Order: sequence, then structure tokens, then C-alpha cells
Amino acid sequence: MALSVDDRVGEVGKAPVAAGLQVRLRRLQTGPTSRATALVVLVAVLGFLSVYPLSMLLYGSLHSTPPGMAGTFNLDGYQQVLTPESLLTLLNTIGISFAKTIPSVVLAVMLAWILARTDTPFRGTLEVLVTLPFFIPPILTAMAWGMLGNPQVGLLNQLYQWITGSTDSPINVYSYGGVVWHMMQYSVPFLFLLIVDAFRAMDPSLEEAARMCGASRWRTFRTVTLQLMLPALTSGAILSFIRGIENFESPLFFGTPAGIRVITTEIYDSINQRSPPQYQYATAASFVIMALLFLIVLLQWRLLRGRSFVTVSGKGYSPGVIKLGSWRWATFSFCVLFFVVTVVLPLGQLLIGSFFKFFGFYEWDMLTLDHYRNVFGSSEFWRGFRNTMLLGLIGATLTMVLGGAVAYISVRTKWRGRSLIDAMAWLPWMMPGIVLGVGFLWGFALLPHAIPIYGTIWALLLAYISLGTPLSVRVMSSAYAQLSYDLEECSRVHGASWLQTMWRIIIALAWPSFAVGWVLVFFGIMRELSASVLLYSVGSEVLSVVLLKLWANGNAEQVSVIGLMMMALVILFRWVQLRLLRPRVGAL
Amino acid sequence: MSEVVLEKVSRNFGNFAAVADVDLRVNQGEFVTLLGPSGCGKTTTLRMVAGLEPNSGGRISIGSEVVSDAGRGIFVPSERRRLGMVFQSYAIWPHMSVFENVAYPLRVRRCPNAEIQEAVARTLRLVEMERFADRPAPALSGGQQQRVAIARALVFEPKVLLLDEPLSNLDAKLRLQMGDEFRAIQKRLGMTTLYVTHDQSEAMALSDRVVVMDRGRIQQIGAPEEIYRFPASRTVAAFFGTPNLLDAEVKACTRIDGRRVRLDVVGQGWGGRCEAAHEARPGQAVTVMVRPEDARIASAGSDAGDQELRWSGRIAHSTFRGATRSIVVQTDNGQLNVDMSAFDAHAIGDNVNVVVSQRAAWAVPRGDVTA
Amino acid sequence: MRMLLKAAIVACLMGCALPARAQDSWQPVIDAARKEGKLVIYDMALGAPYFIAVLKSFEAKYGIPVESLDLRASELAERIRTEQSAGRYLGDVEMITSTMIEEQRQNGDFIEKLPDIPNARNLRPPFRATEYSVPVFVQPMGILINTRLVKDADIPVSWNDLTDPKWKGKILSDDMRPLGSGNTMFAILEHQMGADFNPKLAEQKPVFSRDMRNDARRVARGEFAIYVPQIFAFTSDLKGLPVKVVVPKEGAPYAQMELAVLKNAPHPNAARLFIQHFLSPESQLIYANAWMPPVVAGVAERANPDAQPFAEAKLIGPAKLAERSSMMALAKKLYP
Repeated sequence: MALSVDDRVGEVGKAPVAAGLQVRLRRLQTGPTSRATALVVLVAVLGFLSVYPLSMLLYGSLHSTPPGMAGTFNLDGYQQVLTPESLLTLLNTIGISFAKTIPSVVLAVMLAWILARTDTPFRGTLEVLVTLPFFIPPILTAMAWGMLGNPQVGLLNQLYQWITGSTDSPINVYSYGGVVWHMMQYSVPFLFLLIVDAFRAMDPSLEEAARMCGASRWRTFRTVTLQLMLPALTSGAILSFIRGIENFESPLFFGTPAGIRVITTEIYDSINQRSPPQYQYATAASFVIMALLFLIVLLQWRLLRGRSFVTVSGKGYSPGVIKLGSWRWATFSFCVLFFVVTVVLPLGQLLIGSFFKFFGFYEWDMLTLDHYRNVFGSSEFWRGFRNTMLLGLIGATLTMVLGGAVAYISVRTKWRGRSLIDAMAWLPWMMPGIVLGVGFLWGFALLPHAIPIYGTIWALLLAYISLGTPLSVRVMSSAYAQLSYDLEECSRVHGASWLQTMWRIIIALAWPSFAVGWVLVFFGIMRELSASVLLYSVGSEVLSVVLLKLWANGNAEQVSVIGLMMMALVILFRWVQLRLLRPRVGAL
Repeated sequence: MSEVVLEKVSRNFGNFAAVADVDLRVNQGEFVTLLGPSGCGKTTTLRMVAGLEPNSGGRISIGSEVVSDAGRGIFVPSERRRLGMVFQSYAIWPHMSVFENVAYPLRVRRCPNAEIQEAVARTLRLVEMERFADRPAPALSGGQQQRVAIARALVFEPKVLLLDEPLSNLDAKLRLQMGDEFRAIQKRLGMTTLYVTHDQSEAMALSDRVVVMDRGRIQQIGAPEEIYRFPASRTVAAFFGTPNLLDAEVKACTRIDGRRVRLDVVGQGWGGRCEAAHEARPGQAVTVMVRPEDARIASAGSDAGDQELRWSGRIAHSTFRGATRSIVVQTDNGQLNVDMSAFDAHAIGDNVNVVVSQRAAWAVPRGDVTA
Repeated sequence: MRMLLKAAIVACLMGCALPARAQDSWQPVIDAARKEGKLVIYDMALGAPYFIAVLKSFEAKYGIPVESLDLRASELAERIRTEQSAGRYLGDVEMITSTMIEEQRQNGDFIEKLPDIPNARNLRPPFRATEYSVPVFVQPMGILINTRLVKDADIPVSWNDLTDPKWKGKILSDDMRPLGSGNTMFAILEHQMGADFNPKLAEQKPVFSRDMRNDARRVARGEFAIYVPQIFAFTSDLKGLPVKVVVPKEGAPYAQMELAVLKNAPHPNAARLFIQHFLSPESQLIYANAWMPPVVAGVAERANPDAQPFAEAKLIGPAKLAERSSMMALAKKLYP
């Protein structure tokens, strides 16, 4: 009892063997060593998943021939990209992406605010419905909008002519507007999904404080709500902007007839419509895009650096909704209008069309269930479906876990090297998918034969994880950024290990975002074609390859049957998440 | 066996030393408060003890175990330091009920369920929150949340309790009440407690000993009375209340006993005797601290005693504070604050003498000589 | 005419003479193929039903399971190139356009010399096997018209009819600038119809699109009156829609698909057997019935009545690899 602490420490010191062992054990479990181990593991994983295929592409961009062939190193690819003509195309691409990102952000913010912070009726159902357009395969919506909005016989134009009696066709989807509109159908729900939980989780007292300071509702929204949402909003907007740059379906379908050129259709052409594929040009162009996008990401980092956006604190609050009075029917109508225009119109076409022999030919004698019978009777479909579900479930889960770990380190620790892994996790997103797919092919095929990845289903899994990680990191970063550090530290002090804290506090609180991220990644996997078609092998066919085959064989109606099934799956997932899991896991 | 010992503990952020060479021993069952203005390093010190922040130098031990030693690379993570902690924000997990919040430390330690039920109920009873067990955590008032946070910190009977400004979010009355309750619980359970606050009255009311920190360093450690009465520096002196701090020069020095010396000092327009902790050479600059409540107003012209200091001036302000009245006396060389009983009649403009007994005047070295 | 007759007689004689000799030399190939146990084919058929039918008949006839890896043309070439560079020899046979095979030959050593295929002797002119590959089917293209928008009297009978001013703005076309059916048609017609044909067609302001399968339906719905180039085989499953494919009198431009044995094929005998099977009259008939002219003699006549006109269609082409870049540049110039 009389011994002081110093003496006791001294005593322990006198038993060096025991002490040394103890110290070493502790070091293994915690402290700098485990931190280094964690970082090394993450860097290795991300290195393999993102840097390795990218380095293959970098080689491709600097070498006259793709990897594995004799050739010389030169800068021809970059010279081709840096011509005035190509730069103009690039500028055009950026313009289109801006043109779609800005209205998308505005719409998504409005929807998120309405559905998360007001007492708009049926907002639970609407929340699921407004996100649906994101999950429809783009080729289907492109077809549906072509049917609705072509200037010759488009349904919308006919409706207009029938109502007004004029012969004008005001709507033409084969135009800049059509390209932007088609992209927006994907970016609005995408952004909405990324930001809605941030809106929901915000401490309303922060807004109330602004109201008490005399700010109007609009001013409060602008100066407080939006500002607090800045990390979630900017990272969402940047993701959306990047997607806009890399999107090639919309310009391909709606831009080609109007002579609209974007850099990604150029890249697509240089790979898919040249023989031999011009990989040097395609990869060089992709790296130019990547450099550009990296600048934007750096800008965001600078913008948000040093700003704390902790809005979910340990101080309690009751998540209140704003009572809108009779205005709530206006907000309700707004959401319904959005739903009708982006979902009911195109999806209605697909749904009706799927019961007829051909889309757009709605005659009684063409009514048929053959498309459903053919899809559900096809063993190839079921095989693809099984593989995709397997890859989707495992892939989305692993991706979210990896993304959660990367985001945790980059947002919630001060470790040296955290920017590195954050940047590494961004990389795959900045490469157009059609190019990155080739990077995976080169990367996996050129691995030593002793590593059995190429030609197996695991090659697909790794590619999917790589492609999904940037998104999962963004989603989880925004979620973490809102959690007060106290909540986490308190758990550690009270005896929970890092893992327990992660699971019981961080994940539990970030759960809504985790679930949304999971669904986004899952459906990303379901839709991914560029890498899938280059990496799949006989037996590991995935749904996107099945869809490609059906489409190429003129079975658009069967494709839409599968598209509709995917819709049903989305609704099921979201319903399970919102109704069953959320009340149980997160009480936010 | 749960002393907390800090030896030469420091924490640097780049070139900036947030905490420098802190030596402190918190004895078993003792309640020690870290006190200082914001940014003085007190919270960082607490967080280093908690293991939420690594110390860049020095050694921290809890009980007989070294929990972090920068030199030897030892760092025991928070969860294995067996501490209870109350955060300034309370850190009540919003996704759990009151019960689950309190049960958490037991759950992560894999206690049997029956034990958890019993311990949580007992602890909630201790903080009078048993009725709220099933409430979702966000639906609590500030005071209730604080109680939950305390219950959570106590539930697994930690040997050491850390508190980071736990009362700062409460209103004044609740703060007093919670403080008292808290001290009572702490005494009953005999926990070693390290408490951080910037509120001097809170620190004095609760603590066995107070540690005054400023700019990352310990300025003084001592019982509340001692620190209040015999501050070691001008900083410490200035931190409690609104003392009169008067510059002076030492003329002579005599030792009174082992702890005190008597100084003859001369200031601008005044002179006399005061006491100090350390001997000073003649000619040395000192600051003489006179607490307003130790000063007294005497009518002008009355004689100064041998044991007294005296200034003459005019009453410039008078503020009624309920129990006391604060008076500002304008002298030729500045203002003096005097607290006196509320209903002594002195009018503004009266010429008066301010008298302070020699034993109430305490000299500290001039300038901020850091410890 | 006489030449043709002669060729037919020779072919017939060879065909009659072959079985006796082939029986003894061919049976070991079948045995060896069965022993190899499997065939891996890389193709760009993307699961076309007639292709699947041929695979099924092969499996049924020889009991050798076929693994078919479907890819789009450029992906197919790149996958083979990458796999072989990495020393992964997984595929046995590839089915790809004649120009791509020519290109593969230029770029590296990806395919084996073609083994002796008895059925290749039945090829009808102008088809002939090369040292490395053998044509197995062709993909000809005509003009698709909407029968409600184009009156019988106006139905184009010549490619030149497309340049009639009345079709201005009413023609939908596969993009002629990038490599693909549009450019193939462009290149072949440049030769066949003379240098002023394409500029004239450009003046008609055809609208470009990039999705052949949907484009035929757009014409059927009445967005446009005419679509070029319509691949015959893609029209056979539009029955019931108000569209019709016309074979102009000059002939139909076509792309030629060939089979080749991949280098270090793990199942070389199965590969050889499969090529032989694909050139058999039964397999060729499957293609003929899907509106594609067969490459061997004596099959077109046996096609179903609805397929007959297409199976016997006059062909023009194919496009030459050497001219490809100049043709793409020209298309870009005419359609800026």
C-alpha cells in the first residue's frame, strides 16, 4: 500500500522479460505498429485494386502498343488528345456535365429537404419512388425517351399537338437538352440518395438558431442548412459531375443524331469502333480527363479543409420535421410530378411494352406474355442472375466495408498517409469505365499464372470492388463527417475496442448511409458491363452480359422485362432497409 | 491502488507545445481539478490520461500500470485503461435508449445479462434516472443527459473517473446541485477523479486539490484555499476573482517562518509590508495581490497601523451585489477594488482610505515567471 | 454462266468423291476431338439464335460440349491478344470478320495455320479459304422501309433511289463515320456506285444513330421512312411490323465472318471438327433460313421460301482493310 507508483513501475522494470513481452503484445494490438499494419494492408489492397490496373493503362498510354506487345514508348497518344479539336470536345463534355450537375443538385436538394425535413404526406413512399429512375438500365430509358420525345411521332409531341391543335413538335430528345435530360434522370436520384440522410441527421437546433436570429426560412436554408450539408453536397456533386463526364450512353444515343461530340464517345469509338482499338489514344484521353477531375477533387479538399461539419452530436435532439401547413400539398405535388416524369412516363412504356410483341405497337393481337416466359424460362438468364446476385451481395458488402475503413481513416484519424489512401480510392472513379475495364483485363491476365484470378468469377469480384470503392468511400466519408468525435471516444474510454466501437457506434450511427451506399454499389455491380464483358468466362456470365446479348439480338422487350425485375428488386431492398432495418438499427 | 501519475508529460502539435512537462500525482480517492482558461492544455492533459491523445513526451501511469510512455513506446489504448469518463457534450449515443447507453460499458465487457440489468438499474437509481430507462436518448433534457453520462461512467465501477467540463452545459442552479451530488457520489465510491473545468468556483467547491494550468504548463498545485490565498504567480493570482494587482519594489526582506517571508515594498505613492512565499532581494520587482474582500474602507485621515497597508482615494463606483457591495476607489495611481458588506454607507465621491492588513497582501514575482 | 456451271460440276464431283476418302482420314480427327472433350469458341455472335443452333447441332452430333464466349468485336480481339501475350491459351477457335483476321495477322502471331477442312472445298465463289481462316457466313445489308410511309411505287430498287430529294430528312442511318455497318456500307458503295454517290447521299441529310436494333423499330414506328444499312438477319425477327427490307439491284454490301484456329489451342482437333461442322450443308442451311447467304454451294436453294430471296441475294464487297482509314476519313469529311 505504501509503495508509490514510481516504485511499482520500477518493479515492473526489474522484471524485464515479463515487461518486454507485455509491451510487445500491446504493441501488436494497438499503437503505431497496428496502425502501420492497417495502413499497409489498405495501401496494398487499394494498390492492387486501383493503382495496378491504372498503371497498366498508363503504360498503354505511353507505349505504341498495349502491354505484352513489342513497341516503343512515345507521347503520340497525348499529342492526339492535345489537339484543338479534341480539347474543344473536352470542353463540350465539361459543359454538358456542368449543365446537368447544377440542375440535378438543385432538384436533389429540394427533394431531400422536402422528404427528410418536412411533413409532406406519404414522404416515406415517395422517398423510395423518386430514387427509382437511377436503377433503370440507361439503354431502356434511352429507348423509352426516344419513343416519347422524338420530333416525328413522339408520344409527348402527339399529345401536345392533340391538345393545342398545332403541328409543332416542341420536344426533341435528340438534342443537347435530351442528352442533359437523360443524364439528369440518373444524377438526381443518385444525388438524392447521397444527401438525404445527411439532411435527415442534421441537428434541427442549428436551423432553429438561425430562425431565432431573424433569418427567414429561405435564408436559413441557404446560410445554415446548405452550408452544413456542404461536405455531403460537394462530394455528391463532384461524383455526379465526374459521372457526367464519363457518361457515354446519353451522348451516344441522343447526341449522335444531333452531332454532339463528347470525349467519352470519342474514347468509346476509339476502342469499340476502331480496329485495332486505339488504346494509346483512349488511355491518354482518359488520363487527361483524370488529371482534370483530380484538380476538381483537390479543389474540394481545399475548400473543405479545416472546416468541421459535425452535426450529429452527443447532445440529444429530437429530429423534428418542419410543418408546412397547406404548402405540404405543394411539395407533395412536386415530388409526384418528378416521379411521374422520370419514372411513370418511361417505365410505363417499358411495362406496357413488355406485354406486347413489340414496343410501341399496342394492338390486341400482339398482346403476349412471351417475353416473360422467355426470360424466366431461360437457363442463361437464371445463371446470369445467380452469378450477379452472388457477386452483388458479396461485392457490395466488401466494397462498403473497404470504403468504410478507408473513409474512417481519412475522415476520423489524423494518421500520416491517410490522404494517400483517400486519393488511391478515388482513382477508379476518374477513369471512364470502358477504359478501366481494359486495365483490369491487362492487369489480371498478366498476373503470374500461379495467382488464380484471371478467368474466374473472382476477377469480376475484384473489378467490382475497385469500381465501387470510390462511391462507398464518399458515402461513408459524408456519414462519418457528421458524427461527433465524442461519441466514438466515449465508447473507447468505456472499454469498447476499436472494432466494437466501429460496429456498435460508428456503423450503427452511419447505418442509413451504409445501406444506401450498399444499394448503390449493388446496382452498380448489376449494371456494370465494360469490365464484365472483358473479364467474364464461360459459367461466370453476369446479368449485364445477358442483357447485352438480348439487346444485340433484338430482344428489347425481354431486356425491359429484366429491367422491370430490377426495379422490383430495388423497391424490395429499399423497403427492407427503410421499414425493417432502419427502426431496428438506427433510431435517427 | 488507483493513483494517476503524470511524469514530465507533454504534447506537441508540430512546434506548438499544447502541454509541456506536466508532473502530477492524483492520489487514491482524491478529487483533483485541472483549472485554467480555454486553450491552457487542461483538456489535452485529460485526454492523454484517457488515452484519446498520445503524449509526445513523458509517462502516464494509472494504478501500478504504465499506460503510456513516449520514451519506451508504450501506449495502452483507451479501452484497456479501465476508466469512466464524462464528456463535455455528454456523448450520449443517439441511436440507443437510456438503458442501452448506460449498459454499454458492461456489454462491451461481455457481462452476463442479469448482471447488466442489475448494475444499470442500480446506477440509474444513483443518478435518479431509473424512470427514464426506456427513453430514447435524444428525448432527454440537458440535466437528464448529464445524469445518464455520469451513470454510464460509473456503471462498471471504474477506479478512475475523468470529467471534461461536465457541468458547463447546465444552468447555474442545476450546476451547483449536480456538482454537489456528484461530489457526494465520488466520496461515497472513493473514486480517484480528474476533473477539468474553466470555472474557478466549481473547481474550489469540488476539489481536494486544484491544478492551475496556463499555456500548457502547470502554474500551481494545491488545495483550493491555498491557491486562492497564496498564489504562486501573477497568473494564478489573476485567475481567481478580480484581485488588485499592484506593482512594487522590494526594499527589505525578513523571514517569518518556513513558509513565508515578510517584504517591505514601495509602490507608486504607497509603501508598506506584505508577505510572500520566497525571499526577494532588495530592488526586485514584485506584484502585490490584494483581494477585494480583504480590503477595508476606513474614513480619511485615520492612522495606519504597523501591520497595515494604506491608500487614500475617492470612491468612484459602487455596485450592489446582494451579499456584498463592490466599491472602486480611485487613488492617485490607479483604481482599487474593495468588497464590503452590502449596507455600509459610503457615498460616491467620499474621500476614504483603503486599508489592508499585511497578512492579506501577498507578493508574487513580477511578470509571468512560469513554474 | 458456263463458268458457274463448270464450278458446280467440279464441286459436285469433289463432294461425291470426298466421303469415301474422308471416312478413313477424318475418323481419327473425330476420335481425337472427343478425347479432348471440349471446345472453347470466342465469337461475336452475342448469342444469336442461329449461332446457338449450330453449336447445339455440333454438341448433339459429336457429344463434345462447347463453351462459347460472346464478346463485341474489339473486345474479342483485345481479349485474345491479351491472353496470348500473357501466355494464357484458353480459346480454340475464333469467329470474327475477315478484316479483323487480316489485322490480327498483321499485328502478331495469334492464329494457327488453318488445318485441312474437307468441307472448305465446297465453298462457292467468291468465297475461299485463306492460309489461316475460312469464311463461314456473311452478313449482307439492304434498305429497310416503312411500308406505311413508303408507297409501293416509291420503294427504292437501286441505292441511287436513296438520293431522290423526296427522302431528304427521312433517312435514318447507322453512323457512317466510326467503324461499323454504316462505314462498311459507305466504303463498299463508294466503289460500287461511283464517287458521286456518297456526296449525294450526304445531301439528303440522313440522321445518324448508333443502335441498329432499336433503329429498325424507330422506322417501324414511323419516325423515319427509311433505314440503312439494314442487316438482313436482323429483319427476320421483325415479322408483324410494317417494315420490309429491300435488296437493291446493284447488290447488298456485306461483311464476311470467318473461323480461325487460335494459337496453341488446347483442343485443336475439336476446333478442326467444329470448322468442318460449320461448313456442313446442315449448318449453312440454318444460316440461310435466317436470311444469310450460305458460303457453300448447294444450300441456298434449300432455304425456306421467305428466306430464299435473301439467301440468294447478290453480294457486293467486302470492304478492304487497306482502305479503311481513308474511308473513315472520307465519311468524316462528308458528314462533319
